[in-house]
Amino acid sequence: MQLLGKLKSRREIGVLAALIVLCVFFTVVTNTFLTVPNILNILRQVSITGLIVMFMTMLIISADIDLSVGSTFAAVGMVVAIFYQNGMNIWLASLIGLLLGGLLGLINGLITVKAALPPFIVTLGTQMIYRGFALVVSGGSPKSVRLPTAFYNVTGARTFWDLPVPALWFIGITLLAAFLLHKTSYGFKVYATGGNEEAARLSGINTGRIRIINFVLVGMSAALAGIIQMSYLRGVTPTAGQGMELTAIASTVIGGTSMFGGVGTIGGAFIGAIFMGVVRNGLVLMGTNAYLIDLIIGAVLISAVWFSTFSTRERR
Amino acid sequence: MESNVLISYQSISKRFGGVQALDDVSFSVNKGEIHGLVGENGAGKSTLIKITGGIYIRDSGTILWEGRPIEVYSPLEAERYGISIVHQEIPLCNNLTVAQNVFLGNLITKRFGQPDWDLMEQKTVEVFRLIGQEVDPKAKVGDLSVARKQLTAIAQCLNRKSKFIIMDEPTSALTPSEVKTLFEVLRKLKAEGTTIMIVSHILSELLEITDRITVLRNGRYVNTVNTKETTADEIVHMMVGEITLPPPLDSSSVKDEVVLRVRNLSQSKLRLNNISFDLHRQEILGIAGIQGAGRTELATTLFGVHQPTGGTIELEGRPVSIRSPREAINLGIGYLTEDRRNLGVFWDMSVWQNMSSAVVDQLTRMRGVLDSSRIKDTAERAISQLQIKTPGIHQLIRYLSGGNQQKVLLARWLNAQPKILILDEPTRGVDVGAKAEIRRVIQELATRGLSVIVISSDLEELVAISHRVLVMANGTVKGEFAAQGVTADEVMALAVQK
Repeated sequence: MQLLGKLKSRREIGVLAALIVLCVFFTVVTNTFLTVPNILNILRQVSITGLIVMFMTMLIISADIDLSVGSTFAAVGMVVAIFYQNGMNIWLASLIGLLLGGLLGLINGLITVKAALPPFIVTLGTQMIYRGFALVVSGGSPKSVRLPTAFYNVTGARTFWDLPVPALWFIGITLLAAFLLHKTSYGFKVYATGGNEEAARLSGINTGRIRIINFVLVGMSAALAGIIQMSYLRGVTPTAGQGMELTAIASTVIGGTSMFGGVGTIGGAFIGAIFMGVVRNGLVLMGTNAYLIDLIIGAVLISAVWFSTFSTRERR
Repeated sequence: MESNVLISYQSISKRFGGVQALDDVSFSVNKGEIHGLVGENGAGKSTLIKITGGIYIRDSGTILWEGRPIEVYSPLEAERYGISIVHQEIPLCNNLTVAQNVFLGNLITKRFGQPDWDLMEQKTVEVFRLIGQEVDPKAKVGDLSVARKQLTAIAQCLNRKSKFIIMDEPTSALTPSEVKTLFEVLRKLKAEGTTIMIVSHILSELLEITDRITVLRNGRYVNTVNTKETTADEIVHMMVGEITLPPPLDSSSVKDEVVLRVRNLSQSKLRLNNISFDLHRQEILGIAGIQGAGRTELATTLFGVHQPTGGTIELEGRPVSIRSPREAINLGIGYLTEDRRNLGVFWDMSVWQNMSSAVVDQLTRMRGVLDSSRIKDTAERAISQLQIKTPGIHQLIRYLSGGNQQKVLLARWLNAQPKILILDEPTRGVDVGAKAEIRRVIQELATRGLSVIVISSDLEELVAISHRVLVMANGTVKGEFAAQGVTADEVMALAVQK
């Protein structure tokens, strides 16, 4: 469908160009970057955060933000692991985990919308609350799990052609989010809500409901990421996922989403997520000093956003 | 010999993508005159102003400032030459005081760099005296009326020693008495030697205040005339070529059936008090009144934005309570907002999206999946019905002229297929050609079965297009007229009566 094509085409093109330049650079300066195992590795590395990026993008388009995803990620992983250790079926425990993620998102959304508080403040608060919850239920200690093969195979393993299963989840969720945002009336309402909430309300759109549902979706995606991570690592720590929200937001913004709401695409978010992964991976392959990597990534983030807005900025 | 010309535009051209916004425009503004700039929306007035103020950069041509060519690349540089623009949306800091705004960017400081507020407040009072106004320099700008904000913006210009003040639609949000005050101020400024250029749609006002008027059409220069030697008809003719007036209203089409019956409606917070009226099927009911009479408040209460604190609303004989805009839409009520910029348009969305926002759930198949072919058909039908000028349904609405944006919003409500359509200032900030088309559409809708409520501050227009006119003042209905035979003056007299 081309209906939203016009909107889509703009800023992402700049980031895509930057991504390609970056890939060429790493291919030239290392001899391991452009190899199938490494590409699969990048996909796996970005997939956990990438699951969250898609719904974070939708949330930012509706002019909200969620800083609590890293804590939700840890809390859900921890709860599922504890239930499983206490003899619960892992599938049932995971389902409960997903619902818990949705519930934590619902709390964020209800407080933000019903009490009309800034989402930045609300989720800064729940970030600490949910993290505290993870620490309390775990007693502060990591849990390791020995999962049944059937569950491991569909969450943490590698499958045909050595493809990492988390990467398949990432791609699947990306397609799902793209469909929801770009092809449904729900997605339309997300753009309308973020673009001009008052006008949306006068068009009969229940903007509060749209925003709350977006919070729930982000919470559930963080929960899914937490469960997959637990399966892949065969364990979970209560301090996992710290700083994850910043990586997710950075990927979203690199992908051309406006922090003011109303503008952004899932395609862009996907490119943004890959971009973050490629930079980190390439720098590691180059043997960059580990202490230097964050510094460089920060600089690259600003340059990428500058480049993409500069290249598409309207002529005066 | 010193030239009398302050600023001279020579062959200015500017292109935006596929649109030639300005095409070889040349004219001059003399020192110490009040110069009117008119043209339909999309004629290039705003582009010309923005080029003058350094917001846009021209593609070609020369600007002579007191005889010398100048390059203005930013608003700051424009200020340095003495060019100031008072925009329609007045960019003041609402959280600061009048004096703080007047001296914004120009603070007078004491020895160690602390701002000297006492001195600045005193000087603010002096600046206001210069234009014959009293002021409380310590008042928060956010608490001021639009008119007072505008005067603050003018004081800001004066304080910066502006030689050339451009005002974009300065009267669009003012009451008649405020307009009078503004014009007194402008005459004072002129007497002090300041040159002023006014962009406005309201020709009668331009004829009253300006010395000369320049007309643009479709990005081209048409003519500059001496105000004393021209008439409104002549200027309108230069602006649009030919105008089509709506055919006279045929009130025989109005049915006896009452579609909307409002009785003793009150809303204490909005100061609506005991409002009663009927709306008949296929009737166009005008609502007149001055700013603050409660017209928009009545409309938004009927649309479910606010809940009435008393009284009843009956739709087709059935008592209803309308708790949200969604419920209003479902009951067959549409509401076109008066505040297109803030409450109407989705600026980052396309033409079809702006048209579809009220009915997006119906443009789907299989539970919520958008149906692109239905969307396309619906949008294209509306574009041809309302004669909207756009390159396509995917064009971002921000690139359309104001009149076409308004037609897109009108299409939004037509797509919702309402029984009752409330139009709040449907032709405000819209050019003469689009005005005529919007009036034509309103009349057409009524003959096709809709009942329409029109709120308008343009009384001539209201009387011309309505079957009946209600006059509101102080939150209640003061009286009503059959529109045929009544004059705008009679309506106004009732609207301002104590």
